[in-house]
Amino acid sequence: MRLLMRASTIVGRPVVSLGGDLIGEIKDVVFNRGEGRVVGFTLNNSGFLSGPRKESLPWDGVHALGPDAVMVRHEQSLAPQNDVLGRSDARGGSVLGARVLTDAGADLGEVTDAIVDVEDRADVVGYEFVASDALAERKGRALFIPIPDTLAVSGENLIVPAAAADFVGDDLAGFGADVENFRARLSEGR
Amino acid sequence: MRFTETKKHKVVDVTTAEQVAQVDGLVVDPDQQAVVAVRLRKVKGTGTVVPWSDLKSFGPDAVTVEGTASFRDAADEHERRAVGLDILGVLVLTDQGRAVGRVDDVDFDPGTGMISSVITDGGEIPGANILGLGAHALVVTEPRES
Repeated sequence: MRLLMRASTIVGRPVVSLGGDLIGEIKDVVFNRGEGRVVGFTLNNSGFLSGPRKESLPWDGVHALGPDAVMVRHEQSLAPQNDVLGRSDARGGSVLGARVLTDAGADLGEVTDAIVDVEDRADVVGYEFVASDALAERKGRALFIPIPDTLAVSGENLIVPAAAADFVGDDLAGFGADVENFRARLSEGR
Repeated sequence: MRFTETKKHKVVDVTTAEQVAQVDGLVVDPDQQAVVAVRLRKVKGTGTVVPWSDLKSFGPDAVTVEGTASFRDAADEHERRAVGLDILGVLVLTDQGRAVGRVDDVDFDPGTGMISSVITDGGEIPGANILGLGAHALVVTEPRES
């Protein structure tokens, strides 16, 4: 079972301990693009003390990532910021605005968000993008494209297998199935 | 009995038949899922809390004690923090990060102090599901889908 979420919606979410204390709020999502996953989050303090927090939250410190709060066991679940940023890679920066390019050379559109499976390892399973005319009658719509475990990505381009275009989804609710079907197709192809 | 029903409770010393305090609020221990002390106001004498085990009884109109020697202040930071919290009105979050609602009331056994359920505007939660209580939220286990 996958629990899919737009990475951008996690920003600003409160971080709460299982003891009911407010630890802070999510400032940035830190990615390791090479591993295709979220490695952690930087934090802001909340309330009138708001401003960046020195400590960050590594993914393994997260108890659960829910629609209303990110739950952690306790304040000791946090780690020095360098620990979390150190798990990012040189390509950890934003892919927002990058072109979704198939390995057959078709430009499918512009990336607007990363889709993360927050159930287990915080894998990036796909991207939300605004469709170009390569997708004909769906041009201009916000769509979802699944990605394989490894893919080439820069600030300018996201390279997807041509087959991914067959599994482009219209909504996040059904996207989990699109991801499963795409991955099944990839393992058949090998 | 409900927490909201205790707001006007007097605290009466049965040895003197005098009112010695009023109930200001009920102190909850989330680990025991129970009321563990009564926070006091308008105290004749000193002390701001009385531990549950030092109560003679918790009745529908009054709390009774035998003498006021057990009235004291919070002993350490841990107790101070618990005494300062009011569960009524607090946000309820599950341990999976989902907001259930806010606490409207708490149902407890006046004989033992055990919390049987938490009544929220998003539904009722068994006392056994309580994981933690802090200044920001009451954290409860996510109910299992049947």
